[in-house]
Amino acid sequence: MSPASPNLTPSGGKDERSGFSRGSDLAAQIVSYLIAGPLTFGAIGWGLDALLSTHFLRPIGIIVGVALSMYVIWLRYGRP
Amino acid sequence: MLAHVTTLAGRLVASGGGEGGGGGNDGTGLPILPHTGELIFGIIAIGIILFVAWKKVVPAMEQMYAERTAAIEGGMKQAEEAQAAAAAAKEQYESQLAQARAEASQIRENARAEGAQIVAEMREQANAEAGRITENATKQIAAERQQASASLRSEVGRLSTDLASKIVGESLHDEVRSKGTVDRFLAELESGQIRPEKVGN
Amino acid sequence: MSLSAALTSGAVVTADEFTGPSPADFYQPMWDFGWIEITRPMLVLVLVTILACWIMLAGSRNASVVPSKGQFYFEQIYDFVRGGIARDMIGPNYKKYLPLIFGLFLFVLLSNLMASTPFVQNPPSARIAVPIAATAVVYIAYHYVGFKKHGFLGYFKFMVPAGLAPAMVPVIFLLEAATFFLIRPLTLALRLFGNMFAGHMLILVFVLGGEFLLFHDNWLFKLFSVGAFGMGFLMQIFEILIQALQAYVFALLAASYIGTAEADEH
Repeated sequence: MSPASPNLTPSGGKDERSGFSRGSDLAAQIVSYLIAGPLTFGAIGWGLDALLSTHFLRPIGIIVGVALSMYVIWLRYGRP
Repeated sequence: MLAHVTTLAGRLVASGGGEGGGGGNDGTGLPILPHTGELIFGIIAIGIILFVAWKKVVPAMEQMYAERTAAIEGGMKQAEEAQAAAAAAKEQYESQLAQARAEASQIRENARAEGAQIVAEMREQANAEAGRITENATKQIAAERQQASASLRSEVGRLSTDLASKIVGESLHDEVRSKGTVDRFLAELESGQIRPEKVGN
Repeated sequence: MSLSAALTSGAVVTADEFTGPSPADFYQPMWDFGWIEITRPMLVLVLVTILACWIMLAGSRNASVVPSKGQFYFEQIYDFVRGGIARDMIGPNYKKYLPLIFGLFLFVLLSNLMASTPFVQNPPSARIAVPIAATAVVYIAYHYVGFKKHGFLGYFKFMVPAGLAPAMVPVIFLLEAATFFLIRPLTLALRLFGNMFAGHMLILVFVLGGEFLLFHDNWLFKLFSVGAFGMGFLMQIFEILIQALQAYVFALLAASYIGTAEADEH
């Protein structure tokens, strides 16, 4: 991992938004990522399964997707 | 009741199957399938609302906010101006007061100076008067002394002539010589050729 | 004893007679012209449009520095969107996007409130077409802003957070692109739809159930109907809260997405 830059929130890092707005926004963004990960990589796994006629790539894709989602959430919002 | 809810839940799950999901154009699709007419109406409705907001509402409101800001700032500016005017008036008043004070002190100073001058003048005048009086007196005294001296001289002459005639036995009064003699004597006396012991001031 | 018997019999009876609300109840066709079918939600949408335009125009007409009473109330809503949503989420350039955010907020709010409006009692936003239409506007807006701000390739580059190992970039890019282009609009539309759909359904359950109980022969059921209607009423109050909250969340996320696209590159 290369050293992480501290300025990663979508609005440019400096968050001056009030608590409730910020909380709602954050919750929605995190939910988006949590859905996006398993869905994207699950779909890729499913496609590969169909292509290679295997059955194990879809669950692996879903798990990898969840992990990547969490990693991106941590990357964007989880650090001070 | 519980049964109702479970039936409902079952129906909700089952409704995805195709009959009566409420979605799609004929109400038989999944509930998440849009109805074309509603989609069109929805887009038109949003379009109209956004257009009105964009053309009418937001400009009017933003202009009003700008005016309000300007009004508040203007009010503050006005207050500042009033304050500045008051400060200027106070300053002017104070400067006038100071000027008046200075003037008053100037006048007092002038008066004092004038008074001093008057006193000096008066003193001078008095001195002059006194000098004059003294002079007059001196002159008068001199004149009186002159007169006294003249009268004394004539008296002394006469007395001495009388005395001499009494001594000589003959009147010398009408004699021109005698007169000349007395005068000569007196002149010698005055010039200091004869030192009188007890004659003088 | 009698209660449990009544309940059991009731359950049996309802299994036969009671028809609870179903998703199909939201499909309410009125006239079919062949090329277009007019449904009740469409008429409600017309009402929403008229109402929204009337509120906006009446509230902002002759907008003056010292507000009239009507303008004062309108300003409360406008200020809430302007300061509480747009400025908070978008930042210094928020004024450009005010018509979009404010119009969307008012549209979604009125659409939602139609669920609790007497004689209408039917939220257009519980029909998926309406959240899709609103989301489409947001979708076009924030991608337009993003492409315009960062350039075509720049926008894609902008999606990937900095500080990643080069090997991770393609994987994370895939995830971010899916979020930006797919999941965001999907969750935005489905959140609104789901909340309104489920809320309306819940009220329907209580009201229809109460109605069924009230007209049932069993006197005990008539008594229960009071409770059902009472719950329906409470739910209605609760729903108004949800309706306002969902309109707020919709406008908030629309502003947030635009704010993200508008943000400077990191």
